[in-house]
Parts: sequence; C-alpha cells; structure tokens
Amino acid sequence: MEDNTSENTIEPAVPTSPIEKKLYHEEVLKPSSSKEAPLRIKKGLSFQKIIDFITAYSFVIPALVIIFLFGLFPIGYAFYMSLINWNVKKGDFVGFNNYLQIFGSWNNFFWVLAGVALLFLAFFVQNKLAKAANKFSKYSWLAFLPIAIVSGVVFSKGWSAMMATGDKDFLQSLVNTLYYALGTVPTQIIIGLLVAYLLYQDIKFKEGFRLLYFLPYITPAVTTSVVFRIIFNRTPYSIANRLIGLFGIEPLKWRFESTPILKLLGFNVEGFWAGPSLALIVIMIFGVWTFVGYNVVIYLSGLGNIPKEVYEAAEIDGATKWQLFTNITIPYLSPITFYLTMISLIGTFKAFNHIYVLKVPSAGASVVTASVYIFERFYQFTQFGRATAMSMVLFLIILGLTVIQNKLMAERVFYG
Amino acid sequence: MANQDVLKQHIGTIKKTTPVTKILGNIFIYLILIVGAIVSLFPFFWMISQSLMTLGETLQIRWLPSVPQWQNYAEAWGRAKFSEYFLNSTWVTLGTIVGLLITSILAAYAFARINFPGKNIIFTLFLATMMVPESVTLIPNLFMIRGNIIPWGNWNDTFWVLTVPFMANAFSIFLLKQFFQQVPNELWDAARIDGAGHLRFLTQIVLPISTAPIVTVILFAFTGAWNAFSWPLIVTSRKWRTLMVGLYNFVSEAGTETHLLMAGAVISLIPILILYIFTQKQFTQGIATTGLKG
Amino acid sequence: MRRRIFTIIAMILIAAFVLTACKTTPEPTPEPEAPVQPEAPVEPEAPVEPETPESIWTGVEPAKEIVFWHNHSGDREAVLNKIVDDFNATNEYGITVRAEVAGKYAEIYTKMMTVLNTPDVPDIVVGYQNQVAMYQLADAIFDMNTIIDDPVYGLTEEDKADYMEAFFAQDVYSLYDNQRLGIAPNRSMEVLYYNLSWLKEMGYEAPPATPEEFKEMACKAVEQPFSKGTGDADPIGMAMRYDASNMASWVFAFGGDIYNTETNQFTFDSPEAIEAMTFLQSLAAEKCVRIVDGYDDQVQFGAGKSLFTGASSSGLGIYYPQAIEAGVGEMEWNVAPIPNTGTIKQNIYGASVSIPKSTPERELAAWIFLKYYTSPDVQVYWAKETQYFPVRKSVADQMTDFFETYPPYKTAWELIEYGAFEPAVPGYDPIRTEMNNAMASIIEDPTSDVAAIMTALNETANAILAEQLEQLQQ
Repeated sequence: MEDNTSENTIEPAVPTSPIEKKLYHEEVLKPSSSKEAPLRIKKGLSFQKIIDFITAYSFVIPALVIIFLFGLFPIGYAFYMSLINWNVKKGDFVGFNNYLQIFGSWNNFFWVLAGVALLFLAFFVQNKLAKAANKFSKYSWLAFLPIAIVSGVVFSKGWSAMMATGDKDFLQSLVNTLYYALGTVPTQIIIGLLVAYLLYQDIKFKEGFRLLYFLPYITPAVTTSVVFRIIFNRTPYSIANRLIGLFGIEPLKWRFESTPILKLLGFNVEGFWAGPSLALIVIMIFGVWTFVGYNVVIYLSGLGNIPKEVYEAAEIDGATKWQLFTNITIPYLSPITFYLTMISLIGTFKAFNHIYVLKVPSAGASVVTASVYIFERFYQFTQFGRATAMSMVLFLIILGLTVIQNKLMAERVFYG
Repeated sequence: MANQDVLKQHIGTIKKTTPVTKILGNIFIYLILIVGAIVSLFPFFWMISQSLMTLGETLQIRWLPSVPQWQNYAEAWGRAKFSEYFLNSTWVTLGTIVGLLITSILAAYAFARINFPGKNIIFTLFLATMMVPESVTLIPNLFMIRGNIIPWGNWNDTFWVLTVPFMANAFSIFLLKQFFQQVPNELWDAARIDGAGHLRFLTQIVLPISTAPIVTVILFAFTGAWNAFSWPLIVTSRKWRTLMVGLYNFVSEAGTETHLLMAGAVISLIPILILYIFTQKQFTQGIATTGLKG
Repeated sequence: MRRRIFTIIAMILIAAFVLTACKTTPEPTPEPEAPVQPEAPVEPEAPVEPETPESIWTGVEPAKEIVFWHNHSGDREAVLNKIVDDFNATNEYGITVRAEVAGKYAEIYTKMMTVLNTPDVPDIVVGYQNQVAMYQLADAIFDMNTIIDDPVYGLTEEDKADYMEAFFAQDVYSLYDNQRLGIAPNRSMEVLYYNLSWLKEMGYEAPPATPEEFKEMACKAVEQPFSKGTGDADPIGMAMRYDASNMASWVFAFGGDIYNTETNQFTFDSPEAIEAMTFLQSLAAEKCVRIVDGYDDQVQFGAGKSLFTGASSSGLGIYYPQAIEAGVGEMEWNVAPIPNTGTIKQNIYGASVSIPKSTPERELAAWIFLKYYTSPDVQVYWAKETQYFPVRKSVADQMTDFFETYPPYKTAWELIEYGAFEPAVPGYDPIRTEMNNAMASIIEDPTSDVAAIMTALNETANAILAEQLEQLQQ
C-alpha cells in the first residue's frame, strides 16, 4: 500500500488549476495507493511514448482536420483573397493595395502604429517603475503621463490622415465597434456579477431565476431581434416610448435616432467624444440583455467555488458585507472575470446578427459596426478583395486586443 | 480542529442576532431579482401574448388577448411549412452533436492527458479560430463546399454541408479539456495497472464521470446548431432548409401578420427551452467543474 | 510563454497562406468557355428541300434537365410550381425544369457570385437588373439577342409587339452594348394608395393629381381623422418608409430622373430631384407625413390612420385588402399615379429572369421554358394568382373578370404605358442604401440642406458606379 510510485505517473498537462495543483502535490509527491511495483519509464524514446504519440494524434486528427478545413484554412485563403483585386471577376494580384486603400497611405499606417506602440511603452515604463520598488516608484504614473500624451498625439495625427485619405467609412465602423464594446462589455460583466451575487444569497427559487436570466442567451437572435424591433419602435405607442412616458419624457426615435447621445442630452460636443448614437445604444441594450444571463450562470458557479472558510474567517475579523465583497468575492472571481471579459470583447467585435436586423436607414452610418460594414462590402459591393483585407485588419485588431487584455489583466488575476 | 467547530457554532449564533435586517435585505434582493427577471422575460411575454391575439388586436394597445387564439399556432405551422423544417433542423442538430462529441472528447482527452509534440501549437491554433468573425470565412467556405478548392464535388443543400463544418470547435475542446485535466491521476494509474490503454480509460472510466461537462457541450452545441442561421441560409435551398431560415422567410412573407409571426417565433423556441429545463442541473455543474479558474 | 504562442500563431497563419498561394488553386471563376455556336449546316446541292429555316441553333439539342433558381415562397411558389409542372408535362422537347427556392434576392445573388461561369450555375435565375448588371461584369449572362430573332426558336414580330414595350425594353442594358440579358415574367409599379372614404369625408371626390393637392389633402387628414379609424396610431397624411424606389418615384413624378442613360451618370443633383426631395422635406416638417418601420405603412392604411401610402402595386390584391379587413373592416379605396407636376411617369420595377452562360444545350432549353413562362395563357394564370402585372398586352382581354374583382388592379394596369425605371447598372444596390440614408437625412432634419445632400449623394453614386465599372477594363 505504500509504494513510492512517483516516477510512473504519466503526467497530464502541467498542473495549472488549483485543484490540479492540489492533487499533484497530494497524489504524486506523496505515497500513492497503488499496489504493485510500478512500471519504470525510462527517459527518451520508449515504446510507451510512441504509443502515446500515435494515440494522441489519432485522437486529435478528426478535430484537427475539420477545424483546419473550415476554420484555419479559410483564414489563409481570405488573406490570399485580400491580396487580389477580386470583385465580381477574379482580377490580378495586387499585393497590399487593398490594405493601402484602407489606410490611405503607408505613412498614416505607421503613425497609427507608432501611436499604439508608444502607448505600450508608456504602460511598460509605468510597470517597470512601479515594480522596481525604489524611490521613483511613486512617480510611475507620472512617468506614464508624458509618454501617453505623445502617443495620443501621434495616434490622432495618423488617424485623421487616414480618415482623410483612406476608407473613412470603414474607419468609422471601427469607432462604432469600439463604442459598442465599451458600452456592452463592462455593463454585462458588472450586472452579471451583481445578479449572480444576489442570486447566491440565501433565497428561494434560485433555479427558476437562473433559468429566466439564461433564457435570452439561448434564444435565437433572429427571433428576439424581431421583438426588439417592435419594442423600440419610434411610434409614440411603442413599448419603449410608453415606458419613458411614465417618467414624463417625450417619445424618442430609438432605433431611428442617429444623433449622438451626449448631443441628445444637451451637451454640445462633436466627433468622437459625443458618443454613440441612440440607435447604437438600443443595439447595445439588446447585446447586454442577451449576454447578462450567460455571465450570471458562469459567475454563479464561480461563487460556488469560493471556500466558505475564507468568508467566515473574515467575518470573525469584523469585516462588513461590502468589504467581504470587494476583498474576497471579487478577487476570487477574477479568473472568471478575465475569461468573460475576453470572450465578451471578442464577441462584440464579431457581433453581427442582431445589429444587422436592428439597423435602419435613418440611423445612418452610426450603427454600422465593422462586421456589418465588411458584410456589406462582400455582399452588396461584391468587392471580395477589399472586404477580406478589412476583415484581416479586424482580425488583427481582435488579436491585438486579446494580447493587451492578457497583459493587463493576467497579472491581476488571483488564484485562490 | 475542535476549536474550529466551536467557532463555527459561535458564528452561527452571531448571525442569528440580526433577523430584521436580514429579512429586509432579502426583500431588497428579491425585488432587484424580480425586476431583472421581468426585464429578461418581457420580450418573451410579449411574443407569446401577441401570438395569441387576433390580427386586429395586435394593432391596438393591449397587453393580453381577450380570447387566446390557439389556432394561430396551427396556422403558422402550416403556412410556414414548419413540419419539414423542424425535421431538418432536428436531424442536423443531432448529427452535429454526435460528430462534435466524438471529435471533442477524443481531442480534449489527448490535450488533457497525453503529452505529445506539437500539442501547444495545435491547441493555440484552435483557440485562434474562436477570434475570427464569420464574414471572413464565409466566402472561402463557400468555395470549399462547392469543391472549388478540394475537388470533392458540390455539397450544396445536403445534410453534410450543415453538419460537418460544425463537427469540431475549439470551445467544446477547451471545455472538456479543463474537466479531463482534473481527473485524478490515481484512476489513470489504476487503469494502467489493469492493462488499459488510453481508449479504454477514456470510455470506461473518464466518460462515465463526465456527464456534467458533456451535457454542457451538448447544450451549447444544440443551441448553436438549432439557432444557426447565416450559413444554412446560403448553402441550402429547399431540401435541407432549417427551421430558423424557414422562420426568417416566414417573417418577411407574413410581414403584417404579427400574430402568426409571433406564433412562429414561439414554436421555434420550444425545443431549446425544453432541453434547457431538463438539463439545468448537469449544465450548471458542468460549467462549475470546468475549472474556469485556470 | 504567451508571446511565443502568438508568434507561433502568426507563423502558422503565414504558412497557411503560403500553402494556399502555392497550391495551384483551381480557379473559382475560370475563364468562361465561349459557348460554341454550332455552324449552320452547309446545305449541299439538294435543291427542293422544304425550307428548314436557317438557324444557328440547328443541331443543338435542348438539355433534358435544367434548374431554375427563384425566390417565390408560400402561395406564389405553389403557383410557379404548377406552371413548371405543366411545362414539364407538355413540352415537345422532353425538357424537365426543376424549380428551386434559392432564397431571397440577396441570397440568390450571393450564391450566384460563387458559381458564375462554372458548370454549377443554374440555368434560369431571377434577378434585379442591377444584380444582372453585376453578373455581366464577369460576362456571365446569356445575351438573348442571339436567339430572340431566331427563325426556329425565337419570337415572331407579333409576339414581340405583344410584350409591353416598357417591360420589354427594361432588360436591354445600354452599358453593355444593348445586350438583352433578361426577360420579364412579371412587373409591378409604385402607386399611390388612397382612402377614398376618408377623402369623401373631407370633402374631396378624387385623389390628388398634383403635389400641391397632395399636400393639401395630407395635411388636412391630420386635422380631420377618419371616422372609422381604429388602433393606436395618430392620423397622418401618409405613412412612409425609407425606400430608394420611393425616392425615385417622386423624382419621376416631378418630371426628372435619377440616371441619364446617355451619359451613364447619376442625376440626383438635377433640379427636379432636388425639388422632389424638398417637397417631401416640407411635408415632414409640417408633420403631414411620418416615417414608419417594416409594413406599418400598410397596417396604418388599413387601420384608417394613414390617408395615403406610396407602395408597390403587388400589394393591392392580397396584402392591402387583408390590412383593411383587419383594421377598418371595409372602406372605399383605390390606387392612383404618384402626384406629378404634369406628366405621369410611374416607377416600374420587378425582377426579370436571366439565363447564365453555360452550354448551348442548356441555354436553349432555358430559353424554351422562358418563352413558355411569358406566353399569354401562362401569363394570365401567373398574374391572376400573384397580382403581379402580366407582361403581355393581349392578356388584357382575358383579365376582364379579374379587373371587375379588383378595381385597383385595373387602375394600375392602365398606367403601365407611362412607365419608367431605375437604372440597370452595377453597384446600384449599395447606391440604394446611400439613397435611403440621404432620404433619411433630408426628412429627419427639416432644416437640412437638400441641395447639398443630393449633390453629395450624386457624387457618391457616381464614384461607386465608376469603381464597379473599372472591372470592365480588366
């Protein structure tokens, strides 16, 4: 019963999750309960390793083939298409010309890239200074500021040049997508967290509530967007207008309103800072409504994993509910928050179905997000070359954001 | 150890001395949750209510029909030829789920429990596919299924075109991998001692304890396949048209007949709803044990 | 670790790309095989052969099975299927047509894009003129001029004269050397629906003939609601949607056009166009018209809350009566030309059917079916069941009973000779979106500068057109 079999465990992946780490420590590094003498695995190429190799690959091949054929290869092919002047007829190879049309000129592209790189530099400097733990650490954010400002200037120079000479409709659609992301991701996460927390308390009908909140997520977007169209109609008797009528507000044009929100509220701001249009906000509401349930369910399970002892110990120390929430709940949930933020962010850049259904002409270009714009380039203008170039740019932006998010949040994630 | 128990009892008594605030707190919580539930539910309520009205009633300001018009459902079903599309969607969904389970379970197991060269690269590539917007891959996939890239003939309007491209996805593999990684190595040791290889271990030991994540994968796969819209729209004509495409066509065709439209929409929802209600428990368990902490 | 992973992704993607480029990628749109026109059989000495008329199609056997991609669903699909079944059962060539619902126009368009100039192309396909114009950028559509005058298979002079000129001319593409790239099996027209009962209540006997009269009546309707109006909407002169065809119709009504077929340029900045849009803007400013979504214009008309609507004649047979029944129940109504400044010029539209290029056998078979589809008897059946307009004049005699049942249909029918159409050019589809956006800017903001917006629209439209036409040079 007490054989030392630490050498014979064929390791699974490097233990990452806490449970796994725990098991690893308990099961591997201490005597296990196996009865017989262990198989001694020699280092190097052994029979077992060959079997493993064959087994592994034969297991992985079906998924690999399908994902390659329909997931990866199309990306490569799309890239290929983006290098060709491909409209209705397949034209000539034009290199990066399609991309050039987006940026206006390579100069513009480099200015924008430089702006982004400078921002990275600013963060890097701040990070390094803060970590160095010397007398300059207090000034880490002070050091951040000038570099960030320079990056902003450089970026706007490149950006405005692009708007002037490049594909300004595409660029505007990127801005709309940014609005959409900024509006929905934090909102979904915060509401999801709060609802999950409330649901986790000592109340009845938990299952029922959970079901209700999850409903919007599993319903097909085609169905629900149709209903939303009706709810947010511009007639004075639409449900949305009747609702705000209860508060004495005049009927709004909702999906049809292209004026930026800050202007509607009476502020006289122009351009980017005026914010998204009311129509885009309606679409955001739809997005949040759909995805909150998903976040709630995931957070709920995360809440279940927080050990009770930690709470109890803190309560003994006299912590208030608020302190419990901020100092225990949130950190313990940080891996989930990280995961959800990433998924949501990627999702908002890809979002398409409901935006397409909910958009109308009077909202104009203010509701056209990048994916919608690319879709139109494909199917209305039939300009495959340019459309694939745009989708490559979008793809790279998504990749970039994921990397950034990784960097920013990965260190702050707390593994209990 | 004993002290802790005493402490715990003590904590219990401390809590009991504030009943009033607890009740108030609870009421407050219920209130918020109910408001949230209403917001979540309202569109569905509206859908169902309108689906039971007459056309005239849908034009007026009403919350509820005077007399529920159940026949709207029969009419919508017939008009939109839902029986055909319903069947198609069912076959496609089942086929996709079966294929997906096979590929994901196998691949996830390999990633989770076997060390092999190239593992990380392949897995990262899989993850990368999750970041790609649909419009990018649509046209190349269209060429692919028409046999323009690999000459295997034209898959248009077949069962396969709706199922095969979806029989593997990174998300399911990711989900299952997380779970498989947590299977105690003890079990594996024991199995190896008994002379089992990976396949037997997988089928006889790992799978039976994996109902939770598998149900999760099934639920997500079902949702994805049942609700799929843009791809079936393009690659099917009549034979394999799915329910969502049928609904979409019906919506534009019966444009002004809101009551029928809504009935059609409700009909398309029912299967998913039923599935979810019955798999709730495993589903939440499944999410929990994927170790999203990692 | 993560950084490494991402560089690996990048490398793999580049590798994938290199793979695709290096492989001899079979051309998705290969060079079209020039359909080999069989040589006219050289008649040897045999002098007293009874005349088999000379035909370049002689010796071509029509294909036995051809595919027809269309967009009709529900009842209309059933009607089309019957027509197809009849053809399959009775045609002397043994041709079988397989009619497939290939989706809506937009989906059909997408599908076509991937099969142009390949054997997978359908033999007959529905399409709007601007879509066909796009297909022809790849030289993918069969020019019917090569068969329409054919002694054996073509149309006789009588036949050709029997087609409504307006419809018959619409499928000739000036941009492509006047090739005939389609044929119309049905058409519709933009008309003014009006609530006669309501007009009478207000003291009018007839629909407005001019824009001024229209404005008077529309604005009065807001003050004097229809006595039988039901539902929750407020009374309005006209409920309208943002629709490019709508804009075009009003421009026509003001005596202008949105496109000049001789210069092949758009004319949104013409005085008439600007006048038309200014007129609409003033209507909106005085709240005599309002914008609605989806089919609400129909719904509000039927509920007696909208005095007028501007919409397609294809709705007057089923949809409008239905809306009226669900709303007011019963009222007097009819259709009229869009109020104009002197000359009636109605916007006629509808999809045609075209024959994509493939092999002579398939093209011939397709043509034979199309002749059948547009023949008088079939047209009568098609028109009566779908309330589209038939494209043959001789059909009018067989429609008299139909006219009795649907007086509005007769009214619209009599307006066909005043038809005009929107341009058949590539890129017109995104231009229509721009038109919608421009219309929205003009109407949503009563103070906006109509001339400036229309001029900007014109520039954008011409730029899009130029972009698309570049492909012709390739």
